[in-house]
Amino acid sequence: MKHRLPVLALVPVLAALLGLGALAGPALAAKPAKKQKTMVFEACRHGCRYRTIQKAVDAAGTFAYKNKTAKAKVKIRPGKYVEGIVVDGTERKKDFDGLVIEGTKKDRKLTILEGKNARGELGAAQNGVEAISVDGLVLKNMWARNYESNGFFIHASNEEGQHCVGYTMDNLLASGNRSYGLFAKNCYGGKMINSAGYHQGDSAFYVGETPCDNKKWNVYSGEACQKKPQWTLLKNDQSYENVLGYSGTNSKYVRIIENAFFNNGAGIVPNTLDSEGYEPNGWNVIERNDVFWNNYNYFLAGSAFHTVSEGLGELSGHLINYPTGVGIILYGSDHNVVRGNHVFGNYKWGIASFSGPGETFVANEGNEAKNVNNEIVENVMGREGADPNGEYDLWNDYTGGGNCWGANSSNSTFAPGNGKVPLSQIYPVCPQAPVSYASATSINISAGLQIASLAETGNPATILGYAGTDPAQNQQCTWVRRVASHPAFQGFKPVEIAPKPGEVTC
Amino acid sequence: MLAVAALALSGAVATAATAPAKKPKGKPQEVSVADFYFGPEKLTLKEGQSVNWVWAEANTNPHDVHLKSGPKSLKQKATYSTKTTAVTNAEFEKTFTTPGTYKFICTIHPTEMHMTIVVKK
Repeated sequence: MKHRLPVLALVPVLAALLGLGALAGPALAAKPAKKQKTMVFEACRHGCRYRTIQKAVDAAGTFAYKNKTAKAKVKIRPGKYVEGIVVDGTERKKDFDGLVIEGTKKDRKLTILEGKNARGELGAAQNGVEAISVDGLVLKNMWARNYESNGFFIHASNEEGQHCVGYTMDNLLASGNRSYGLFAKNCYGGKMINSAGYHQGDSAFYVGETPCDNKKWNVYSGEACQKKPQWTLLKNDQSYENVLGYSGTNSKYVRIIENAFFNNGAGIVPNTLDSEGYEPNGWNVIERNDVFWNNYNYFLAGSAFHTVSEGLGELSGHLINYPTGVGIILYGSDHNVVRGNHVFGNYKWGIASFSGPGETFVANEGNEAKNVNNEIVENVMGREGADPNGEYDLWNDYTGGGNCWGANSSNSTFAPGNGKVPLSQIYPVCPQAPVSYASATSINISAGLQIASLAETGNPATILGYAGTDPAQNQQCTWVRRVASHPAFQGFKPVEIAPKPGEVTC
Repeated sequence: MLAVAALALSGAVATAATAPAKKPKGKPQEVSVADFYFGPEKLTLKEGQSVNWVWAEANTNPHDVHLKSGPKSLKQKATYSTKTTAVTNAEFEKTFTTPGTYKFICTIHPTEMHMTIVVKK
């Protein structure tokens, strides 16, 4: 095998060596000491120094450790790489902060990280890329598929003094991974942009456990989680045919802007669960997204993927799954803003908001999944009648407090529940005075939307009845198709799974 | 050693390459790495016995095995932790040759997932 030296992109030094100082440019000549050199580590199947991406990454980490002022970049030529790459920021004598790992071609489908038959430390390779305790990591122009866990996964642990700040995931594709496509956990800020994901057993995009300044932060304290929030941006992404388009368990400071979420079980789902720290989710902005046709019944045998989720908890022995046929769900959200989205063609509800009823709900011990102080405003529902959402455009379980609805499409429909509570109380207009977390309640059955009654837990007009439908594929029994077929939208095609005979028993 | 070699060839089990080449005593004790617990959470071994952590099939969350504290005389402490996380279809085996108390956590879920192994002479 022909070995090539790493490419040293060291323009000023080369120019000086060649006596070409003038070509280096006046700016470089004026401040040569501040110019960072970039060492490129090239990986390819044949003809490069590194035949695996992992070897190139390791070499880059060693180089950066020895050259503190230099930058390292791993460039991957097109090909299929059957491996799981680990970028371990805790490793001694390696430095991965600021590392760039990118396919050389902008067509992300040309640089494939293949999980099938890939081996890792613990057996089957778990992730296309797993980055642990790394700041400023950049992943670009790649496709990760068929991994045991996730496509691209970056995380840090509170416990071990780890850190994960300001990652960038750009122009990535993730498909067929067991859990998540693009996954960031316990990170301060980052970007997931220009990327896409399909056929994940949970969500294509996931931001989890946003850390707080105080490790012992508690929502009941009334303190801000981060005093100077470091935001995560999701922009220009496409998520389709996943259990969830976006999931954000206990996520905070996430801007989800101008993306498309379609043909999933549900589209955008910030949520609060005990499984991760820093409950609840909140202070997110969901703005100007297209959220449509999220009617993929992944509980059916013919689904191209199956859920790995354990749902939201249990009630009366029934598993509470995520509801399907819904565009946007706020589950136990605090101070989220849902503004200016186009939400249409979802067969159950357009935008639904509800709490986890505290200690009676297995998933939310500590009662930290209250829906409070959210704004649902200026959304365009059902393409103004051309492609309506099913049962209702807007749905709220009448728990929590301080939530408001305003300036959504004038013909929007609102779920009324049992009619005992006026719509103006279930969906108060904006603005509303914020309520304290302690004063808000996570249980309120008076409107018959959270649950019909303690004796009637199976009513599919309620959130607990619908999400607890047993068998789960029967959720679609109460879907409402208001048009014979969806009008065309930007070249996308609706994808629905047809049940086998007898599979859905309404 | 034959068993270890065979497992290494199959790639089914990760073992610490730098661990002392001592033959494990008997069959490894199995510990389940599940959402969100180690099972069992307490284990008592004899010096030279092994533990095999096996990630549960039903898991939906990533977990690792991380040595939080061990005997003062313990060498190569890093080899008692996994470098990476896994959700399922994963195993991690380690032989304990130094007596004392070992405390493990999952760094992803440190408050929920912890276990103690006591190794006796």
